[in-house]
Amino acid sequence: MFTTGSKILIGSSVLATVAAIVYGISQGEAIGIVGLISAAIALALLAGFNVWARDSNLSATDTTGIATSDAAIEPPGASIWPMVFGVGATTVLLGLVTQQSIFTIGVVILIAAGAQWMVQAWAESASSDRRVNADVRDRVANPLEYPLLGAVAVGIIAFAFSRIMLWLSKTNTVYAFVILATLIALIAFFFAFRPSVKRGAISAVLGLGAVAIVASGTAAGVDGERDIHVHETTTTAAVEGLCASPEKGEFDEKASQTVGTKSSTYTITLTASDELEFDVPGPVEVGAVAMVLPRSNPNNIVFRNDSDEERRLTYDFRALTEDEIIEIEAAKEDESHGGEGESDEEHSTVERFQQCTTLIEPGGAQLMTLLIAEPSISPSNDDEAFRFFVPGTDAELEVMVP
Amino acid sequence: MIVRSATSDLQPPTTKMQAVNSTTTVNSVTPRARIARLSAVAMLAAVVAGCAQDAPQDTWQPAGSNARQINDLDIWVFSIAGIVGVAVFSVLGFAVWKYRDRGQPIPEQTHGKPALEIGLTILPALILIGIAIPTVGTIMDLNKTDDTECIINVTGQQWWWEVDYPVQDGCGGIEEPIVTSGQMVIEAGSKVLVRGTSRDVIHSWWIPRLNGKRDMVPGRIHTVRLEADEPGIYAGQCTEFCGLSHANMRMEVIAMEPDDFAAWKANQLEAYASPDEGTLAAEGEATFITQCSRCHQVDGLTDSGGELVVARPDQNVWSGAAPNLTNFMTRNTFAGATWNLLSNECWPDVWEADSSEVGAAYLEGVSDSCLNEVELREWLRNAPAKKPMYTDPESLEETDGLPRGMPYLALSEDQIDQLIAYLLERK
Amino acid sequence: MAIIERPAETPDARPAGTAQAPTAATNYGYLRRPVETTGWRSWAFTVDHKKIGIMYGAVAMFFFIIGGLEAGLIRLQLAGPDGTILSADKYNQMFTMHATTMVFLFVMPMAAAFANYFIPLQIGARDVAFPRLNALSLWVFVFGGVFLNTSWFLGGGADGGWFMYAPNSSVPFSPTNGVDFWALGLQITGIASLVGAINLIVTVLNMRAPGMSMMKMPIFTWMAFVVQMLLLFAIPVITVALFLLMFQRSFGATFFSVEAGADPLLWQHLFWIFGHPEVYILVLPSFGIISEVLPVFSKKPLFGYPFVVFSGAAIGFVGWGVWAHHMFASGLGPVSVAVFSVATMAIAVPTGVKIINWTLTMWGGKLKFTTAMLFAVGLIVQFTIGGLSGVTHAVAPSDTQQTDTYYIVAHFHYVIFGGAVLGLFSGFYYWWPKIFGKLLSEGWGKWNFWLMIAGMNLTFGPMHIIGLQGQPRRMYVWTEFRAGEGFFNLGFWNLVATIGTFILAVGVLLFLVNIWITHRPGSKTPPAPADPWDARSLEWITSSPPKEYNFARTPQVSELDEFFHRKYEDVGEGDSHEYVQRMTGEEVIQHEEDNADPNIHLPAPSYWPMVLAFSLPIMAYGVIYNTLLIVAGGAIAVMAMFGWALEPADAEQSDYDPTDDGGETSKELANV
Repeated sequence: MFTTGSKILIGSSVLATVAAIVYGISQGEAIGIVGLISAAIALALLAGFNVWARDSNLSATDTTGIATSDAAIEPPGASIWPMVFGVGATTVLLGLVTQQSIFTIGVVILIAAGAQWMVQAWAESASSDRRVNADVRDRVANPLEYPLLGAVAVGIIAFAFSRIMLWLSKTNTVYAFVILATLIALIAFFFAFRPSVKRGAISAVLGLGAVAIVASGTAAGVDGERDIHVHETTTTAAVEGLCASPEKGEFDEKASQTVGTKSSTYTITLTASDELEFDVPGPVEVGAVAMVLPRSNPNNIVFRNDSDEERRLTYDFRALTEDEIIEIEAAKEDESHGGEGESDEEHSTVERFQQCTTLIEPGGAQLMTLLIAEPSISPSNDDEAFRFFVPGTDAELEVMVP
Repeated sequence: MIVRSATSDLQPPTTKMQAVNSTTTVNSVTPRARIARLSAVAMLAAVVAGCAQDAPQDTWQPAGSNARQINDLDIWVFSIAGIVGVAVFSVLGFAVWKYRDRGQPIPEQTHGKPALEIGLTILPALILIGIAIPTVGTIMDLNKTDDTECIINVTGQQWWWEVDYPVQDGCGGIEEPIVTSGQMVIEAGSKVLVRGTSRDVIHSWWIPRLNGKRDMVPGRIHTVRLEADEPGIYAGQCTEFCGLSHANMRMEVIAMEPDDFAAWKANQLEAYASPDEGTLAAEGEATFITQCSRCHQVDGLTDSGGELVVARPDQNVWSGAAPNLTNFMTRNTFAGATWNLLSNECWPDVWEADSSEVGAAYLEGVSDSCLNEVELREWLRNAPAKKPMYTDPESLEETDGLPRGMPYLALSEDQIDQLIAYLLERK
Repeated sequence: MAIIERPAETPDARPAGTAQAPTAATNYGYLRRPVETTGWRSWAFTVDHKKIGIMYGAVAMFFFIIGGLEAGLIRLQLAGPDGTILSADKYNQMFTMHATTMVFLFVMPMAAAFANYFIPLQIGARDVAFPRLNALSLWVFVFGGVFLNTSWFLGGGADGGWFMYAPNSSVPFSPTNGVDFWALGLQITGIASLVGAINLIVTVLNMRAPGMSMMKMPIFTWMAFVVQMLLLFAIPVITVALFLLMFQRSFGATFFSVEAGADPLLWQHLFWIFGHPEVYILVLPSFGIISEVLPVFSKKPLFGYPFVVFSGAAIGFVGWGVWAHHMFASGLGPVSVAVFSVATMAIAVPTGVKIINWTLTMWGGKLKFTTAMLFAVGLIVQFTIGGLSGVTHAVAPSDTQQTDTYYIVAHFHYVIFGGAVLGLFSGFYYWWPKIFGKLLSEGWGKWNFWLMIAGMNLTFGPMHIIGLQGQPRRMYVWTEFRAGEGFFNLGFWNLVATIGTFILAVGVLLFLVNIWITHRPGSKTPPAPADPWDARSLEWITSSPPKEYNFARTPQVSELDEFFHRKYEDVGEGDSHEYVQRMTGEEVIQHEEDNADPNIHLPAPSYWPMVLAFSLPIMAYGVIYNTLLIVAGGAIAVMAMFGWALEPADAEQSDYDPTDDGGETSKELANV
């Protein structure tokens, strides 16, 4: 019914409308939206004329050949897509009055159903043979359907499994994983070595498995995650004022295993007798009293804990200025109001600008990258600045920055 | 592909043909082969004879034990390589001459002689073992650090070298850190260990006559040995591409006798002496404080209120450091050791001095009459125009507005006069 | 082998004069398949490996000229002290782009050109395993190379050196987009190489003629096969490195940020794990080429074929274990340095084996010094020099004096130019009659050769001296002070090197002149015979140039140097040998054509590879400028892959019978 010219004009008009919507959502500038809407209206008008005039193409009006061919005579077959399309439209409207996410789901359903509907309709005009038409539809649509559906299915199963993993306790997750993997391997071997397993059996087993995972995943997701502790990091430690205290906080027991192979770095060791010793590649200067670190340099320092307590290494830059203290306190207020932190934890007001490692267990090590901007002769060099120390001990190491 | 089986249909024609004589020879190459050989010999001679004399960075003129160890290994390896090369070319040249097409019949289609091949595989392997063994020994030797007598820290940044002497018992005893740039002064005959890193990108410390190079990598500390047999000035260059002015990042090592070195150290640690009131240099001091002390440190400099002036290059330059100018005129190069501070007349007196005189000549520093004023003025007038650097304010978005290198300061000629007078007293 | 599903015929009876009902057959695919056999469309949408090979070669040659111009500018700047022809910034861009262009846009694609053209011919196949993928490789390379060079007009080329060490490659130190273009351009061309590698590996493993076992394959195919295996594993490594760099620069990652704890040596390791196999990727195809040329012009088989094959494979394997010899001064510990030093010496052994085998091939032979042979012998000489200087760098302490100086520049130019490039030129002269149907002039060829040799040695020979005497590389100026005294100081040799560059340029120009003289309209060069050199391998059992279907019938192979053995028979008895020619080359070819396969099936052309290739630079521009372009490019890529997958592998009615059409090489493919 629609001639080629009409199709082009209608398509362009729709495209301009869609573009206007997208442009409006992303950029929001009036002039662009106005321009595109104007284009859409103009094209719609032209489309209207052309539908009536049929491209002024007499032979295009002679559609009897097409209209009388077998493919056209066949009535269209049954199809669920109009219904799904309707469901999508309803969901869109529902989403407009409730949540954004429902609206999005509705749009997705609309697009998917619309595409399927169009492909099916187009395929049905290929011939009068239903099987050939189905074959044509498959040839066109399957390359898109299978990957997408596969991705969605795998996504759902993976997501459900992830909820299970988050719900179980840490050791149980290992068991669950191993058991599931073994089960899958066993079933797979079984199928592989049984030459004539019925198709229905395989579908049943896989379906059952998928349903089980999704169901338990949903249940676990609804029930909520297990209690997962957030470890302190070197950043939070500095802000919370933990650097100056020997207190535990929530530290990662495995923090010291995060040092990869780091060579050619400074090393500071807390000895068994609670003293700090430093080492550099090459010999340590005999007669040196302080550790020399170049200024404005990203110095990599590995802290090794050879004592028998959990310790951290802290470097003190200088005292914080009044303004800086106010800023940090304000940031902490914001966080404790908006976040879920336990507000009854007492942290000392941070007064000094320090950087530290997390608590390291005996025998462990951690890397610290230290950039000191000022030289030792700087006026902010008070008694406590320009030194490494280990809170909870008397260990101290003076730093000289030339 | 559709495959036809059966091989039976390929039959040679029944008429026998004579063994083919190749009668067409493309241009006989014998005279050309001779020309080629002669020119090769001529080139070799030119190569051997045609080396620069006294190239300051010549790797084949070792002046210290480390470079000498490398050079001895070089002589061994290059000789072997030369012999192998000559052998291969002789065999090849002979084959090219003897087996050229002179109308001989089709030669025997030998497919190989495994015994010969295996033998000729084992032979190079043996030669290489002969090279490998001294190589591994030398590698281990050159990495030793337990015989160090003096430790000097080096930090590279775009596009100059900072040299600092940490407090230690070595180097004849250093009580306070000495910070300088571009020129490293060492004691001749002393085993120095350079410990180096970088503040920004990878650079490389290379004084060819004293040792091979070592990359200076940010976040890492690398050590390299240095030892000079005789007093002298040994030139070097940054040898890892580090950006725009990589070619303008040089350095020198000055070796001197122990007495001279002690004098040098003492001079470096002398207290700051303010210029006399009312002199041009005093005005220069004030100008220095306002224009230069943001980045450049002069130890002991105090402002009018008596406060110590501490330079803050970390707030003014991306790499966070600028050359320490406390004893600027005790060095004789500047701006990444790219230009001379000594004028053309005075320059040979120091650089071409005998090893017995070089220490004393160097310790004289740069005086008023010997100053290379032209270059220094150009630098102060407009540093980025002289040495390519990233200082254009409009292009500093990616470095938080901080330049990389010394920016254009728009100094007036008067200010430059004052500064030069002031700097001349930094000895 | 071709199974084409023909859709069921629809039994419609249509009244005359009415519009035709659409049939299932016409509904397949989106765009009508290209069907032209002449004109620019037959080149743009071809999947014929021969046309693709020629296009690879032509574009690579174009980039050779570009890289050569960049080199010329570098040498002009260094002709005298304190040069002013290029600013420091431009100089840094120039040497980076020169190296990148020469390595990635000239040598690798030119080797791919030869591999594409000759691997199917040498193994007796009609095309490669995945013809459309082959076209994709080509167009991805072309678009990637163009994309990389648009950086010149969009803020400047990359300026961090061709190995782009971190952290100098991060944004604060390279603020222009040049490095982004470099990283993205090389990822794109990397796709081309990787896809081509897979294609050729499958081709070699699966499509050899019956009777051709792996150890009866022509040696060029063997070397090219080793190269494809190297590419298969090396390209992913550089892609990872470039990916990390792209994320560092464009998306704020901290892989190479020292203040976040990163180690700059990570980039070096990643790059050189790729970079060392890369140099074997550059040189092994040329080794393969001269391993073909030397036997033909010595009238003897390659000496020690199994040894040459195994040494090539050994180089491929051991090449993975020596990468840190590019890092001897980078601060690895003494143990690592010692291990890599010894490993690097070890790799000299298989290379030496090849040199020995080439020399022994010529030994006792009947040497004919055509231009191709001259280039082959030239390669042996120049590569030996380069290899020996390489052995001097394997000695790590010496290397700490030599690395980053002009001595290294001399070494790698001797092995790349004197090795890879001379081999490619040998291949040009050897295979030109087969590809284009005319012999290049031997007279011009000799001038071409000698000027290139003279120019090459004058340019790179002195670099040994100036390197050892202390001139570092990548310096935009050199100074009088560091040039030393005497007439023959570093300044003199720099000038000689610059003069040599121009002689070299003239030499290369003569090659182009030779092509012009041979092929210009009105040229008096006669068409070449099918077997002008009395060659030995399968690709010569075709016309010059080969028909579209390559072989009239798939050859049956019984031994190495199959073609030679069909022509010559050994009539000696016992230990004595006497070779008698039974057939000429033309007779062998004629015999094959007389027994042609009746049904030859060829792959059909397609648009989709070009469309898919086109989407990649769009995505790359998107990474640099605007994320929406990534989406647009991605959409085009998905659509192109979709269209490609939908398109049947074979066009309908694409079979044809060459014995049927009176000598015409092809007929119009039917409309699909």
